[in-house]
Amino acid sequence: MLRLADGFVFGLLLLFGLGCQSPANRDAADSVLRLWKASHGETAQDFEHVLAPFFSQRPALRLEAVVHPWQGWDERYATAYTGGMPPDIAYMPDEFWPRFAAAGKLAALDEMFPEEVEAMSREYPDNLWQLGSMDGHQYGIPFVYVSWHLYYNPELFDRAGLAYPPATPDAADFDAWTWDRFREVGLALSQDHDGDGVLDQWGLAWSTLDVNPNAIYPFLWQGGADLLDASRKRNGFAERGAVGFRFMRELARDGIVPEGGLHPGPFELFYDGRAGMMIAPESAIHILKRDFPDLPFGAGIVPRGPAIDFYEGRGAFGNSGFWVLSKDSPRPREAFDLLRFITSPDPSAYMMDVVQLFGARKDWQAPTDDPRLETFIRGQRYLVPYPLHPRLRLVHTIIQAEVQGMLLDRKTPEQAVAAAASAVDALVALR
Amino acid sequence: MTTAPKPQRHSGPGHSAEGSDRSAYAFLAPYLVLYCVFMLAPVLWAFGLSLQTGGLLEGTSYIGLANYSEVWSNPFFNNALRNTALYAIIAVPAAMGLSLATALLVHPLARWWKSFIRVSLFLPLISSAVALAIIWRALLLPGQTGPLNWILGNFGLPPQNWLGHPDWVIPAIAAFQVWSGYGFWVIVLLAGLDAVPTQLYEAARVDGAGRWQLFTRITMPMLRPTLLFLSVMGVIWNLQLFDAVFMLTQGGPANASVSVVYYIYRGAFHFDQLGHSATMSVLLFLLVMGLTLLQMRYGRRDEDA
Repeated sequence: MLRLADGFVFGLLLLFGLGCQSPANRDAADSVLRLWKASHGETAQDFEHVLAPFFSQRPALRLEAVVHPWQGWDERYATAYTGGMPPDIAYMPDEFWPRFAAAGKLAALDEMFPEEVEAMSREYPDNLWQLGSMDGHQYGIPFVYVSWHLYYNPELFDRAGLAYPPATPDAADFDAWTWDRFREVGLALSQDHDGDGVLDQWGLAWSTLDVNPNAIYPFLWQGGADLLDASRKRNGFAERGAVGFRFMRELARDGIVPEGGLHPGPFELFYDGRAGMMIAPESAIHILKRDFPDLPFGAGIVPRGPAIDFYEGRGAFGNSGFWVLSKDSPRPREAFDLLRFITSPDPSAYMMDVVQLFGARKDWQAPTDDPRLETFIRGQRYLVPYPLHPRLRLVHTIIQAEVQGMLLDRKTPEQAVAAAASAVDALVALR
Repeated sequence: MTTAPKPQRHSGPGHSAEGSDRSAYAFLAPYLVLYCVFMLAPVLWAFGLSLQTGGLLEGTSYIGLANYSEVWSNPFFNNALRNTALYAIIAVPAAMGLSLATALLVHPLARWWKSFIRVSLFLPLISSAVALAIIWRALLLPGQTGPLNWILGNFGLPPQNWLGHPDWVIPAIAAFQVWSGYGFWVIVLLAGLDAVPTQLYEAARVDGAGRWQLFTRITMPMLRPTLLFLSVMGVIWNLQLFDAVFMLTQGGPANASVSVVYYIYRGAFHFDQLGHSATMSVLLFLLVMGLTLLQMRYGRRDEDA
């Protein structure tokens, strides 16, 4: 007779066995299409709403939308794709998806759906479309792009008797808006109001401690350096990187940026009205209006560095995000249809309205409700795309640590550039 | 002279000795299955992975002991090891001293006061680690507006960039560690103090012992097993430090706060070097085990003495 304890063990093993059932079989049974996206402010309900027409035409299918924080992105996706439970479609920025494509985890859309992908390619600007392809295959369909330029506090500028940064390339003082002028403005804005000998207002709310390198790279690009060279087999900053590194050190030493470029939360200073400028994406307009309604702010183009041969010396941060299809999706046809639906004009426009980012489609209409958006739209020409490489995110880690080491005076700019270049070369050679 | 009857196994109707043994194993089985699946197997797997190269996405291939010879010459691992040792050296004695002082102060209080303080001190342990990190980031803001700097400023001390300067980031994270584990330490020590027989104090007082003598001759010796347990746990926790680094600094500035476990995590998930990370995990496991055995041995030797 089976005893209670024996029965318990049997039950446990049965449960364990059920848990080991293949995910593909389980999904096939209930016909779920799984969508994952790191949040830009939207929720799973937004996707359920915008995708409702798609699923109403396919009653046998069900949506499982997971909108999650950016933190922990790597482990979430790496384990899902390795463990055989990837989302059918996922949103991945241009610095994320090449790693998964190189590892054979993403579907080459042009191979699976050649005619439809060819037709889709005509719906996007070439530069954005190209950022979804690697090694001759299209892995990603563009969805959004971000444009990082300057925000400034007009009250602080007025108090210091300074002209505002130019809002568009048409502005009269646009050509004069150079690194030298930027530094002068930054110095004038960095002030000690209470006279205790310690600065309590800064020119630029900027730090290298942010997880993202978005604040570091513009100065590299404006100095003429890039992350990788054209072959993408070695670094692209060994020769000209020191210019940008030196400029960042000047900003820190002059007190233009708080805590020598090592402030753990610099944007807070701008929000508090204690920093004259910050570099941030277009979505910050919406966030500032919503969360800091009393804060006056304007938008301007980033300054021009010495590298006029590279994005006119005004290289600004702007990456793009793509929808990708898992190679292991049990329903590739339906998943691709879902991908096509979400990138089609109306759903795409709806989601852009929710996240307040720029849509990648040619037919996307930029909002006109705030004149400051003009800076980010007109400033698109200066956005430097990331070089597509499976290990690009590790390049960030290397450069960021070397810039921090330089700001701590552990290395000269030249030494920091050389160390970063050597580490990046070793890293990309691993491919 | 009569001899006491030998203790016998209870064997009621339908309960043979073999049957009881089998039942015991059956009752143990759920735990053993879970232990094997979720504890033992991953450890053995990690040993296996340490002999391989490659990553999660790329897949792995066998390279023998190459990871072990490489890891010692890796300056980032050595840096992480040094940082981790510093965390433990700062946090364990600080937590021990603070919690012992608190426990000694709280122990004589009335029962409801003790309960209230126990609950208050335990709150950080059951709070979300993310919420705690956000609060600490705000507390440790640099400049004069940071709350901690403001307090220090009232004593004439200059403001510090706690999380942004390599000289301060390790003490700041160690302080977070002490604070977040402090409640547990105090509660365990209070339990240890409760277990000291009051007759010992009464007898010593009759013999004329003063407060200091009571503390050094009775309290400390009686608390030694508790202190040994806490020091072992404290060293293990601090050598496995991850969440505070992950949430407060991401290893910055310039890798100054990278701990071994954070470096292992970054290697596995960011650098896609699973075998390399598994090697460091094995070495950390051996280090923790070695230190624990050493602590136990010296602690028990003192006890025996």
